[in-house]
Amino acid sequence: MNGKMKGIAMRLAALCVCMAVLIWSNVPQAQAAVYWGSTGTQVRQVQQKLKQWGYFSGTVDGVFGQETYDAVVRFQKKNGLTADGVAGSATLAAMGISSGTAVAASSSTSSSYQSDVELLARLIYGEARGEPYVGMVAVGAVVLNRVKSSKFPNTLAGVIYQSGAFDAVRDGQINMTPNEQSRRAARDAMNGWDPTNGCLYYYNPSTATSSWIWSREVRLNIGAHSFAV
Amino acid sequence: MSEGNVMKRIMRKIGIKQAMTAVFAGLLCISLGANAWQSVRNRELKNRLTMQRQREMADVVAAMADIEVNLQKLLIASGAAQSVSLLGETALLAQHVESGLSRLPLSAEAASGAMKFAGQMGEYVLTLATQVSGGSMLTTDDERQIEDMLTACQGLNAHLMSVGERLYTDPLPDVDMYGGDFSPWIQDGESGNSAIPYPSLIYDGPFSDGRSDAQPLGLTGERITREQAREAAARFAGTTTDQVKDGADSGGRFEAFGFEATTPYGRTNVQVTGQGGHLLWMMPEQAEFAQRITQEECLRNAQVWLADMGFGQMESCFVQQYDGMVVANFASVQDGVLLYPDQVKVQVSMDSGTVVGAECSQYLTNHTRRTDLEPELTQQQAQQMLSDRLEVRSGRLCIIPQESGERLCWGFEGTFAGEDYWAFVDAETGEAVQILRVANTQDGQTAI
Repeated sequence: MNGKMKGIAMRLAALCVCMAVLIWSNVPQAQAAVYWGSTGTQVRQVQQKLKQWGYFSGTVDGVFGQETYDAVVRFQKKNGLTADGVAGSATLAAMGISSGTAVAASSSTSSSYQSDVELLARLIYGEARGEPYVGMVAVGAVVLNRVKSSKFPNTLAGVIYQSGAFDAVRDGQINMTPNEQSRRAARDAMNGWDPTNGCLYYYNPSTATSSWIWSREVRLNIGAHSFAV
Repeated sequence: MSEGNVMKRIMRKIGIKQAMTAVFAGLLCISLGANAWQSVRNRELKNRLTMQRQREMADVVAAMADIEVNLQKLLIASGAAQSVSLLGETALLAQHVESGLSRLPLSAEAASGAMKFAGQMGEYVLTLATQVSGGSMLTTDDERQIEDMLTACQGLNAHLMSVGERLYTDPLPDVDMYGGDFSPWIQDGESGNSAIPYPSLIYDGPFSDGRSDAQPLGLTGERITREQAREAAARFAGTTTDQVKDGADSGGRFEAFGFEATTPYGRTNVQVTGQGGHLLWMMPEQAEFAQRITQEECLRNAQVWLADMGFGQMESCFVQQYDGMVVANFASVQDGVLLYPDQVKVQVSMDSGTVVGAECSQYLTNHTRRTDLEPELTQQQAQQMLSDRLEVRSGRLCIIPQESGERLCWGFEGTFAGEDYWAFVDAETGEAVQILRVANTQDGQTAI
């Protein structure tokens, strides 16, 4: 009897722990923000965006100083955000910049090139891990062909985070840590290797149901993907 | 009294069945509570997401309305300053629309028409702003294109406004909470095409409808057979034809035979063009080579390989290093002039110094013999056009690519505030054409 009750008590405790974990896992985690004194790639991205839209006239140097602060405040006022000079999740989202902690943590160098490689590697890993290496480079090339195309946003982040564009963004797999092969594929794609010969789309013929995607001209098949224009 | 004894006494008192019932009732309460809490959170998230979308849609609609007004004003603007101001503002608004559309839940096929229109419009009005600020006025053709843009803007505005209104009255169903799609609302029935007749905009810019993919200049020679292509693939990969299996062919601008070759450094994919048997690209399946030889040796080997494979005289202009490979961009040289548009990227294993990868599409697109490489200005005259702040180290003649065509320039390498720059001055007109900052990353150099 004593043993039985202990068992019941243990199961109850386990159930409570599971429920607590389940509930806690649904609480959104805090996102990274950049503010006065911050440095790094995300600050550089903020400055580039602000400069592009005419809010910022200083140097894009990755250092959040007075000029950047003033520009952020101007941007926030103009866009109906709280004008506190802190580029938090809402401000970053309004600028089209991903503020996920995973991406921020990966930007250990001050170069936007490195952060682009990392972002592209994440997408490749989320979309094409398990595919032949050429297929991974091809997915990266499709993203970069979209950046160059007038029909899509003209930044890497804009293309990757375009609503509904990639399953790996929709289901969160883009936040997984990419392996070295994905990073190499991202670098190769950014260095100009394009196995797809200019394709803008890819799909898995065994699962794709959209009649529109089937109407595209397929230029190459690699692994599970057909690449099309 | 121990804890176990207390439980034992309680259980004995109330009986095991009642105890179990109480436990399950408690669990049910906890589950219901957690479920209710989740529902509240979900509703909150859904509201936030809907509000964000409403705001984004409202921003896009407002920006499009402003563009419409600006274009109307532009047609009756009388002074250059007024026109430039309106054109500049319109370009910013168009950029805002393009970026806003990409954040709305629209499928690529539904948004592409509107995004292309916004992107082209932004680029076109910037071209006009440059034209007007340079002293020229808007031509009749420009005014006609502005009128066409205005008509398309009015159509798109009306459409977006109806989508915006629908968002207030017809919220997305729960299943679409995170990946909702407005596409059917802006597409034309079942065809999937845009309901808006967007105009074709012709101007001098990368997205202009007037630009077409011209026949690649370097894609010379007769059509070859698959077996001839296999021989070429074996030569490029440094192996024998019996080690080269058929792979995936590719279509498009560079129609090519695909092969998988087994080489001493592993399996590699090779694409050889059907016309002329040129190397399109070569890519090793595995990398991560050991670093036994220096970058300089690798570059020398690459230069020899390029000459052996028929690319002629080439010089390295960018070098990176990753996964035990030296990855270098080589540009053709003609009569001492560096031809930046004619680039081949080469990957060299630092283990053996063997060329394991190459990418030649840019070379095949642009490579041809240039006829006029005589500059009007001397190097010294061109250097005087640069800012005194740039401490120039060296200069040489080069051809650089432009949005349309290319230019003969004097290219200067220099330093300012501890950073390296490349500055290019038109060798005929003395116009400062481009300035690039050389960024040193952990992989090597890139120009920004």
